[in-house]
Amino acid sequence: MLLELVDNALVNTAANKSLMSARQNAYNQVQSIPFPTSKDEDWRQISLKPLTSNNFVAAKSGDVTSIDIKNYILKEADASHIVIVNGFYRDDLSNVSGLPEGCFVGKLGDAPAHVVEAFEKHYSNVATYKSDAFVPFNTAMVRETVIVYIPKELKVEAPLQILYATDANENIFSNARTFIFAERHSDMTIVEDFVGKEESIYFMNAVTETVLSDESHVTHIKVQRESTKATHISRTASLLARGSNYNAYTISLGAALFRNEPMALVDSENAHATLDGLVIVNGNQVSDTHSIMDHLKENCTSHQLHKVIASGKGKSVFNGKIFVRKDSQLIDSFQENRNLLLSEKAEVFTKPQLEIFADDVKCSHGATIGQLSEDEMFYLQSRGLSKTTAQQLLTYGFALDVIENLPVASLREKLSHDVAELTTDSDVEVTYLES
Amino acid sequence: MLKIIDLHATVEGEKILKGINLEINKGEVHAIMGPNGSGKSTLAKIVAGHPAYEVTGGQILFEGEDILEMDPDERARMGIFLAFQYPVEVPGVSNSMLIRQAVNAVRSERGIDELDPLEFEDFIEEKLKLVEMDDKFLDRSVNEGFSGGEKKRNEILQLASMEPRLALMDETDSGLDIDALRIVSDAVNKIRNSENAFMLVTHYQRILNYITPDKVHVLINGRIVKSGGKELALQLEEKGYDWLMKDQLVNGEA
Repeated sequence: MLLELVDNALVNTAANKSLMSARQNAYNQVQSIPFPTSKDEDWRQISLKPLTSNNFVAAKSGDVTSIDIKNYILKEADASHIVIVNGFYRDDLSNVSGLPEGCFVGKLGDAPAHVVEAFEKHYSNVATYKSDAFVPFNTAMVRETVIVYIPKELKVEAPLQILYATDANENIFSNARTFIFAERHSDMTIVEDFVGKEESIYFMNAVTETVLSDESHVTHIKVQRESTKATHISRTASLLARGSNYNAYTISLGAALFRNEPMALVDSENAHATLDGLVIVNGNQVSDTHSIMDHLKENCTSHQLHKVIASGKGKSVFNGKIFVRKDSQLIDSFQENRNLLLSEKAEVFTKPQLEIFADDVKCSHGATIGQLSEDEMFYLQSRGLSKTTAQQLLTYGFALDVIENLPVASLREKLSHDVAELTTDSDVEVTYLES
Repeated sequence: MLKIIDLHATVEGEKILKGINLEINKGEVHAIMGPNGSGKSTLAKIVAGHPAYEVTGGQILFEGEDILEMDPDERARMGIFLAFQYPVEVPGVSNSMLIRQAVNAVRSERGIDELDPLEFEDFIEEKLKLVEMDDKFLDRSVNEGFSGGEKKRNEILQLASMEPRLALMDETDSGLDIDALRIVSDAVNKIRNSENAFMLVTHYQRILNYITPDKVHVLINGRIVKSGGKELALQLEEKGYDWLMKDQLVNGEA
């Protein structure tokens, strides 16, 4: 399926030599790697029908026809956002004037030499997923890679928002590619935000690679709020150097089918990775997270809290792989998957998968599936709160420990409201903790 | 105010209440005492509308109205309050948000203007003094990380704020140290007036040294086996429950 798309729409405009060779390699891989089927263990729980049953075409333009881009820009990122529509870079809708000097966000063609150097060294070397056709498809096809470069010793205060919007009148596919490079002792928050025209059918294939140098801190938030008829396949890979800190939060709200594969390669001592997630599925939505937390060196810590709220006929899949390699002693790893079912027809699959080859490690993991507790409901109702309000408060409370860690206030507020909207028939105004 | 007539109830098929008759008038404090497992906590929860219990017979009238079909929130808005034996932790919901919503729910039911956040601040300050609680408890998630005593005081703070007509206190005294017990009892004595009523569920006589009951009922094995004045509590303190349980066995009804 991907092969057809590649043959029909390969764009060969790359000026950069290493990019060209990466593309050529990727193109060859797409031809040799089979498309996943439900017989593959890692794809067993979901159907790729939304992807295979539609004829997708390449987007012809990045014109904005129906959605209001301004509505999606986070207020904290007023002067630190870039916008890509249907895979086309939109300079005119972007504004990075609020970013400090030395920080580069933009296209490869505009990047200074030292940024290009970092790019050439790591591009396509971080998102190394086995037997995977989607990353090569992205590499071969992507129109423009968004490059984020944070210079050493710099803390960027404003969050950077990268808005990937899909807005077309036909069933298009597009690729989003982000490359983040954090130099030594740098610190930045990056929000990758995926939105689309309501009710439209499209295929978004997104790949993000993040490279963290020594002692750097990157907070990486991915917000997936695509059209509820879209398919979004996502790979977010990170490579962590000594003492670095990578905190990733994936918020899954939209799409008919969302497949997300976060991967943290904790490849040096004293590094820390967080791969938290909040998934909300409703209607017939399917959200599938297959994560990899790979401890390649000793003395590292990791944290993974994956929370799911499943309503309607929504379906959630979680497979959390944790690897601790043979010589990676003194690892402290935490994984927890908690699932809240709000309807009888919602479905949840969970599979923690720990493969530990070192003997002096601490790895805790747990998975729970439950409903709102009768005692908690009774407690709130006995305080005069209606059933709906009580449900809203408890659902909000369930999602809170993921939401409260997001360092962007307007995003926290938005999510609070999304969570509240899950329980319908509300006639009560609910106010939240946010100031 | 509250009239319970021949109330039978089960939980998961097991009979817990086997014909309770009880009448509480306004201005009165009734103590319900009994050994563990006698059904006294169940009685309080059923009056408040806990969904886990099934009422298989009898009636509960509040202000003359049958409340058995009503949801817990409707009963709360009518003026029934339950202070929990084990207050529930609600992560993510601040105490002030809960109490303000609770207060406004009963106010709007009574046709009184709701309190906006600023008015609420003044309102709650008075109530905090009553239970000697610091206002930092308002910003914290409901009961989360509270000590046992703090949770119980938080229940009384909610009671004081919602100004119920009937307060059911389910073993509020259990686990309280002397200071906390004094604070809780003082608060109840200040809230107590000729228009409201209290039903104190307790295992021990201790709290009754601070809050003087008008009536004491002994609940054993799902039935009220003895009722009397406050002196009955002292008798129980001295003799325990065994003598009353023996009576039950003699009657062949255990």
